[in-house]
Amino acid sequence: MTQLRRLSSWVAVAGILLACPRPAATSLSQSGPAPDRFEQWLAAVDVHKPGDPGMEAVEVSTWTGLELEAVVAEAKRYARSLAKTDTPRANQILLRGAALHGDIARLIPEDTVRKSPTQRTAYIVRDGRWLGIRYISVHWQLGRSLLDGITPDPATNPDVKTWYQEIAAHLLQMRQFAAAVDHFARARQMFPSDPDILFSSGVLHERFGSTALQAAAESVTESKREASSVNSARGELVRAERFFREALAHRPDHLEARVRHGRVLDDLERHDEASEELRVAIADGASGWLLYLAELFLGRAEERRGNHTESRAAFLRASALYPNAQSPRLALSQMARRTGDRAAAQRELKFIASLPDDERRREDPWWLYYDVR
Amino acid sequence: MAVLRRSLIAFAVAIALAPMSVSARRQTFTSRIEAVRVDVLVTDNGKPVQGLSPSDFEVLDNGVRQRVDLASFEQIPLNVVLALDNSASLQGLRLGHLQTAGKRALEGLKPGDRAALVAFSHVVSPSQGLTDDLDRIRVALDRVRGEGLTSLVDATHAGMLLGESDAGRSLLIVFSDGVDTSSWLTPDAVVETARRGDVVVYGVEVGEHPVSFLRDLSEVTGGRLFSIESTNDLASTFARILEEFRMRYLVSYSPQGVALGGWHRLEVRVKHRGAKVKARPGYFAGQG
Repeated sequence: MTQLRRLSSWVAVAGILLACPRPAATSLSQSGPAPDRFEQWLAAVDVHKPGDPGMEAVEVSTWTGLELEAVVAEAKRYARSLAKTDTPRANQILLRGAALHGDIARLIPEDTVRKSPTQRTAYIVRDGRWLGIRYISVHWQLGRSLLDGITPDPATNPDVKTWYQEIAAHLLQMRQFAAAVDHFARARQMFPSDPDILFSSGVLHERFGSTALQAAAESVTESKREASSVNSARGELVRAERFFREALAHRPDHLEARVRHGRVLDDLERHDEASEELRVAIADGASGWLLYLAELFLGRAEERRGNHTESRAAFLRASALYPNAQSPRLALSQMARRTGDRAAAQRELKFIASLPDDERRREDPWWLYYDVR
Repeated sequence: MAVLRRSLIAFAVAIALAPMSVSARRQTFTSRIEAVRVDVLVTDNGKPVQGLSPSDFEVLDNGVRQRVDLASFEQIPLNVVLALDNSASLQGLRLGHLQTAGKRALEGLKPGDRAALVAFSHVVSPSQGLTDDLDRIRVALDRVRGEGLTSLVDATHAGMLLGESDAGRSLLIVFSDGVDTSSWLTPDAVVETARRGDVVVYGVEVGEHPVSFLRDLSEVTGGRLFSIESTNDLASTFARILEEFRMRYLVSYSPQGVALGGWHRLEVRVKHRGAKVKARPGYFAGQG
């Protein structure tokens, strides 16, 4: 419930959607930075402690987008040259540079000022409605660009993979979906069989297929603003299903991927497969909140298959795991009502009415389903 | 929906008692004839048309003309359920407007009427069931706080069930200023349930973007959707809804010449030039 409080804060509730088309790239990066900027950058990289927004990071964050692009281009040229004689040192500069820019993007707010003509914008949405726009930090792209210069091949470097995985998790946690789209696309190009990156991609597109994000995208379009990068709910779910399936192909014991895969299959009206997948997740040892969700989703899949007895049993098992959760009880009341059992529907309603008033005691993992734990 | 397993004779007697006492309303009647009742709003130039009798109504059930037995007007006590969004977007002044609007609706109730409250954010709290002790609803309204996500669909389902928890004539007023972000139930499932009940839903949404769920729900229950620009207008909107609902006729007939089960398409007309009729488009018979 502490997490829910956090969700209620203005920034955390915001989901961010892509909006503007990518502007034409400038060629200024070929002209090179002022010599002192590159030296300053090297010095900043040298002293930067990952995870700490020190003064050097703050200083670099004040540079213009064009200066930063030029510096990164220069850094890659420098590293390429250095790699001929000292590959580890060259790679270290690029990795530390990526860490610096990742930390600037994460830790130093700067999204209200446009840094570069190539910078993309995102919509801020809350409660399913757009509220304004912000800029996607240029530093994510700068970090990725630096890592592209790793030799001999960035895709074989474990530190590069770690950087991508950690940034992916951060972007999902902070609901920076607009930034996540490009980041995940590049991550998948580089690490096409990494189960964590595939799983995160599935979570991202499952989220895009959610009611709230679909409504937000619709409200953006209705407001006659440029279309967001969110596709139709079905289109997003189809993508999510593929990513979860691929993640499971590479890591069959990824229980959360299996539970989410089951839910997405069910929403794609593949109820038999959904039921099977969720049963596998339960049999394989899903526990706690994940088991609750698996039972909840199984209840819905069985209901849609017409197996009301099994559906009811699954909802009751979910309710037993989280006795103060409302979702399984709502599901039971709805199923009872639909099948004409008004008395049972009323009994479930009374159960919900008897739940504690104090919302901190009304824990329901479904409410946090779209958030990365 | 409105397939009432009660004696039409007893029903007619009950309607004659205006207002019907609560104890009479809770009476159990022996099932002899299945009657269908439909809430009907008849307007002319936006104003309710009064004084119509059963013979003024024409009801087609699956295209088959029916004999209308009763057409009562403003006589049956109401069950008014308020399902009110108190998510994080409802804070400060807007929350105050909502609480005032809820109380304004209560002021419009008459002796014998009952009310219930479902307050919702992501948490659905149907903690105040139908009661004629309206102070309890007022106290519950004062306790509402604007925080959390929005489980509009879940709360609407709970509100409809509350409306069905008593045999009276039920109005569900659903207010939300945002789209659903946390419901477990799906809009389609709840709209489907609404088709099987006899609760009339009036939706009230604020903001520039319509909520399709509320529009669909209002339509299938024969209610109405009010889209308002600001919560400043909320109290007057709630009062207007109640006033309009009281102006509706409760039309009753015993289905003849139609299959008993399944979906029944309804058409309601009146013999009054220029009148507009609003009623639910059909009902489910059988399981329901």
